[in-house]
Amino acid sequence: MSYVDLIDQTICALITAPGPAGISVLRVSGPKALLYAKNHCPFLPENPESHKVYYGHFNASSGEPVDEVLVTYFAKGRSFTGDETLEISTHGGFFPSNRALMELTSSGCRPAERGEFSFRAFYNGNIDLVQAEGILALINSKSDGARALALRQLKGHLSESLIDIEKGLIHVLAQLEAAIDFSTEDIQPSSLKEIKIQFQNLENKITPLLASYKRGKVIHDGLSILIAGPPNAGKSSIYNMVLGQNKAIVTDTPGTTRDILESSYKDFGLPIQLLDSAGLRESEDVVEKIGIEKTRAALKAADAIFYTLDITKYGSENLAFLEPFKEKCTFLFNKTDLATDLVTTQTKVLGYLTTQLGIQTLGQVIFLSTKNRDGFQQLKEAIEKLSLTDINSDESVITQYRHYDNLSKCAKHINYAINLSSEEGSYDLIALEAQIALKEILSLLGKEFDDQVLDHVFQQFCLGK
Amino acid sequence: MLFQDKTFDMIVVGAGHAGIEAALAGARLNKKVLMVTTRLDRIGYMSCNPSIGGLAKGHIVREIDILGGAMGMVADKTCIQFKRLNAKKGPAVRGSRAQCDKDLYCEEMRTVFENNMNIQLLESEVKSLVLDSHLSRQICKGIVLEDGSQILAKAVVITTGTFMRGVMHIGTQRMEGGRVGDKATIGISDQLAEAGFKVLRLKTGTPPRLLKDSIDWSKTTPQFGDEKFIPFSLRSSKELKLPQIACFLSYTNEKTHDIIRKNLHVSPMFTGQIEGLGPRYCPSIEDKITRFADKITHQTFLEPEGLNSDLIYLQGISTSLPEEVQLEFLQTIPGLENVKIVRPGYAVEYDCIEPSQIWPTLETRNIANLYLAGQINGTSGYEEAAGQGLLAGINAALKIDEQEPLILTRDQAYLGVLVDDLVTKGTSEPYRMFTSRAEHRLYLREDNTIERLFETSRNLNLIDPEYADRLQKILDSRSQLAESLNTTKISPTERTLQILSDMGTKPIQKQTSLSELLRRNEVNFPDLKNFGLNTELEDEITEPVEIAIKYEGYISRQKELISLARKMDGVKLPIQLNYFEIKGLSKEEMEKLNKIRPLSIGQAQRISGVNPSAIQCIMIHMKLHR
Repeated sequence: MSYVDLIDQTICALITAPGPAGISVLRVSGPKALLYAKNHCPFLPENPESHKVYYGHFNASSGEPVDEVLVTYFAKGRSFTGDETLEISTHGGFFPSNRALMELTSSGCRPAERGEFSFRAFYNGNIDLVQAEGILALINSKSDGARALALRQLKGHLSESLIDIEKGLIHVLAQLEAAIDFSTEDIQPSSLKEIKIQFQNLENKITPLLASYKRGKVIHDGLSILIAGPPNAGKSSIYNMVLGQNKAIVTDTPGTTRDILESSYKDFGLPIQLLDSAGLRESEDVVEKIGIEKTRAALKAADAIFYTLDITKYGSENLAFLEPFKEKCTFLFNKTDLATDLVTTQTKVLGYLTTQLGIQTLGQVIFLSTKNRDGFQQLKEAIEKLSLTDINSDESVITQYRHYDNLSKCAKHINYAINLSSEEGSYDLIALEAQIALKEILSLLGKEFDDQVLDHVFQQFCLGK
Repeated sequence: MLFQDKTFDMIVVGAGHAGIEAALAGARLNKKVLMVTTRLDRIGYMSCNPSIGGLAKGHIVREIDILGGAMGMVADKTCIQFKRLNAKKGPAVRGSRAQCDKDLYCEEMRTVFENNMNIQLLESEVKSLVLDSHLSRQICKGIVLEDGSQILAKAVVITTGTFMRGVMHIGTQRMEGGRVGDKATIGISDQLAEAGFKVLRLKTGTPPRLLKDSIDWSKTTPQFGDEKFIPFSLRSSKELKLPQIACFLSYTNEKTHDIIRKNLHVSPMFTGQIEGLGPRYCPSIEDKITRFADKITHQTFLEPEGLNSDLIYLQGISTSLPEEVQLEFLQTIPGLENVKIVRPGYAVEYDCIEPSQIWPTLETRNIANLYLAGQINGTSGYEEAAGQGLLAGINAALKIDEQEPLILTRDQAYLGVLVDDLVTKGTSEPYRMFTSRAEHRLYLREDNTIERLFETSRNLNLIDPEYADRLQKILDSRSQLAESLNTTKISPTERTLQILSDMGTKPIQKQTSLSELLRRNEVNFPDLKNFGLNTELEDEITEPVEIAIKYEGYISRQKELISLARKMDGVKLPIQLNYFEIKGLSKEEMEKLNKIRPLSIGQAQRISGVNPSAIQCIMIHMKLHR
């Protein structure tokens, strides 16, 4: 919020990494950028040329020279922020750039807040909302993959795909409107068949974008794995085995782990969040009940579920509640050290999973023993497989829930439109669906005013304020 | 001078479609109205095509009717061919069109005026307005006639159509006037320009009128109207009064196009003689063959101007080529080999006021008590003009009575869309209504006009009690029918299943209401008589109910969008807001907002060139400075 109110102030910040380097670069941006810079760089002309570099000495207010600098001037409307901007290159190291910053601040510049330059770029229409969010994602990226993806989003890669869909929708809407409003003129309107094909083409563009969210989310947020299962199946032991450190208390009394424990570690280039849940069973113990509810919510939120069962006791467990999550489940059958005939057990386990959830193969099953570390290698491989998030260099990827939400609504209404144009349809109804679909895309791109969305995005920019 | 001693509440300048509705609305609200026109024999004259209504325009005529206007009733009485356009394109985009007998239309309209005690007619030319200023605001106090005499009134409505500095073009010939046989109005537009209004120059055109007996009809294809007549007004008889006629279809060909192409150098549109911007959606034939050069033929409808008229209107062939060229190319069209032109086609250039300079009440921003309606606001079309006239007349009367103005909303009426578009977006070409201009189209249907406007109309006393009762009864019958469709249920008995199978629709599994059944594509209202429902009701009762049930899902989605938009329209902006103080706005946005002075955030959003981020800035400014 405050960014908006401060839009007429001139801001400055170091835009290269601090510390020893060849050079450091300061950016000064805002309506009085040149005026303030001239206080310290008297060699700058009255009307500098945009995108031209000027050489001279940066002086303190006292007149004492601070450093030898190169100043690049960007005129209003031709800079990243859209405002008049100067980029001042000093010698590397902490002191020259820091001193220059202090001098600029004493002249009236304000140190820029996090993301403030980008915010101004959005404000001045140089980047769209999705790109602005890309900057946010870049600032907050937790892994190299996330950074690369955020950079692509900032460069407009995702926006391009979305704008392509926006244009497609506008195009088909124009044809629908022509067929309605100019039906008495001698024009050849598009047939519903042609209209339908266009909607299908749009659907074909949206489907892979939506599908990319599963991977995109993992890259953006990291991978979250929930370890769940009945009491005393060895969940906490598995948790500890994966983490390799003794975080949860392991005892033989059912229901010890009453809250969700969480730990993060890095592997396969991703932050991985491991969650250990309360034992899932009906309980009279109130504290434990809260834990069970939390587990159910956690089942929904996790990217993957390691559902752990005791191989000697699993038969009585009803797994129906896992039906909505079964695709993201891996079933860990623990305590193989206690099982007698493993081959027979495997057949029985598969029979059990088929009856309970219709699972036909052992692809989602790992047999292990936390006691003698059997099957630990398979468990690691399963985590690695979950971390695989290969992305083609020309692929657009959705990483944020806001985007996924708008886009899936858009897809839903395009689907309605396809159904309507399959038979002798009503053009006005098809047009309504197309308009709603378009609205979703416009809101995604920030092209339509939406109080809540803009507030939400900019509040993230103003972290700490 | 006869009128000098008299005082009037309202003066209406012009007696076209806008002027008529303005004067009648004022009179209905008990105002003493003077209507001044240069020709009393041309009240409500149809200067161009001989029909009322059409796509989106039919909607407007029905809205005018519920708000008490005369256009619908007079069109119903003089209809000589009725059609419902887009009948198969969806419930919201059907549009009624009545071709009318032009002479009878004027005659009927004249009768309406002769019976009105609150209106005085005067044949004269208005030379200028009486302007006064009060506290640095200009106020309109009356008019000055050609003889120099002044007539004063509390409000003045100007509806001069294409007559303000009107110039007609045929070939290289130029004549002053807004219509063949009528003088141009000189003076008012200079005075308005002097008062600080931005004046635009627009252009429109009309096709040639042909002599009926010189046409070989056997070479054309007759086109008949619909069997079923759906009058615009619920006050009208459902029986057509006049015999119905056919129109005739023919086509241009390469020869026609060659002749036009060879003569473009004498078309004022192409020589630079015409500077005004014409409507893109209603191009002249010269325009059509230049812009769509690969199209080898264009259709044209030959439309009789009346039952006893000798004139044939050539729809689609508006032109301003020299008369001899017009004759030459017309004679290449099948059926017109020996045609005689009674009146050649011509183009008209005229002044209009850039419409973002008026308030949504149609009162001008610069001069208080001065209202503008019709083509002077940059619109085109009889219906658009009539609607504005009606609203200007109502608002002038409400202001005199110190009442709140009537501003229709975009989710209430096409007239709301029309006025909001004009005052918010302005226009650079003659503005015509399209259904696609209404973002809430699915709710703005012809069939639910009463639901949308009756309450407003009754509360402001825009219609007489008798008509109000009639409309209330219709509304009641509709809700009774809807209620009985919801409550009448059928069970899956053997008999019912047999009936359903005979109807060609799926069996039911459980108890089902008739409205659920009606939602099925293949089931229509008359089919429900199989289940004992009385289906022998008037269409005006059954059709709206059936549409509301069949399209309920879509209509509710439309209503969701409406409530979203309403939220934005509900955030009011003060008129005196200083946009130059708001941080984060671009200079262009500041200037636009300062000029339009939107009354709500919703309206600000609709101004072209004002970005979503600007709306954010305004919201924040409002929050900070409350």
